[in-house]
Amino acid sequence: MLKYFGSGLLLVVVCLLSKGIEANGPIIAVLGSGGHTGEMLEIISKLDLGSKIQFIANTSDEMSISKANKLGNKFYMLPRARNVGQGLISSAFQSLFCLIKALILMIRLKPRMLICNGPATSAVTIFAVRLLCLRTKVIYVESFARVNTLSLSGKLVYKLNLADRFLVQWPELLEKYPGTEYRGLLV
Amino acid sequence: MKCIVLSGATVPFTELIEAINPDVVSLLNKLGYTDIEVQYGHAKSAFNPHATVTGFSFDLNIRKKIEDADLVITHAGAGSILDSLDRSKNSIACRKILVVVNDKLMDNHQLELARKLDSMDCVYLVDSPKYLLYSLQKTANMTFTPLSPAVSIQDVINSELGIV
Repeated sequence: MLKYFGSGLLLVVVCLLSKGIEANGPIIAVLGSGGHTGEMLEIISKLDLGSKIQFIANTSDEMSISKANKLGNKFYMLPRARNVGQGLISSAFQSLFCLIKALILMIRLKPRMLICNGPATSAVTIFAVRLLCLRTKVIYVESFARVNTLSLSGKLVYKLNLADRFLVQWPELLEKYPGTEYRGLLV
Repeated sequence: MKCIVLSGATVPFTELIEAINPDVVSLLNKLGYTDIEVQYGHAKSAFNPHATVTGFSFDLNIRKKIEDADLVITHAGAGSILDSLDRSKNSIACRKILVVVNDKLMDNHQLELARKLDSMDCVYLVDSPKYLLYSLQKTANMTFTPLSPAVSIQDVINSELGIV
């Protein structure tokens, strides 16, 4: 146990000294589920490199998987980090399981960029690249549905300053959360 | 003219489906909506068929159906609202959207979006299915505003990737 802790600590020190680990892998967009997936696919559809972007979807999220399949982009799976209305303790365990899987996937892929728009799975994926000190660029887009307050994932990512760019879709949020960007509607 | 009613897929909004009653249908007909389609999801039992009203549970091409509609009566889910919004920049023929709030739902953070869009005249907010008839009368001569088209984040991505 102590050995693992020691090597973990060493890894953190190495990361801090080396200003992070090079990340030259793919650009990855996380498909949150339901409305989040819909918004993400809308955002991706407006990009030149739309077909080169790879996806992460939840194992249980058949809607996102079938949509990703239809587009033909490469995609990876992660277990769901939290179910809607799930209790705190069981969701903590589930998130931890998701985090471990995300860490393994991120070590393997070393994405050069993550594009996320919530909910929990995307926050966990961002945690993973930051814990690994990967030099992944993180773009977080808050949902169109959020006019006055950030979502839970949005608040976490904002407060811990985990994103390189934090985009909101309503000017009300811009005033409330300095450092975010508003460029108009994105979906 | 065509009217489509969206009741939502995950949580069935039976009160909205039931609100498409003979009184509402006859008013819709009088306003010129003679082709009315109701998406009832899992709540088929709440649906009243009528000469001018057809129903369906789900449709993968829901956007195409909405595109053809002149009036959308929808639940307050962000996805359905987004699908319904007119982005054409043409305010003369702008689609009318009535967003009906499910007043039985406790958690209503979705209201925040509907209220905002109501203040921009992009939608008209109906506080309860009970007020549908009244709201249809009230909005009969109202003009709606299209929502501005979406912007691409290509330049954000390029600048982060170091592409000029």
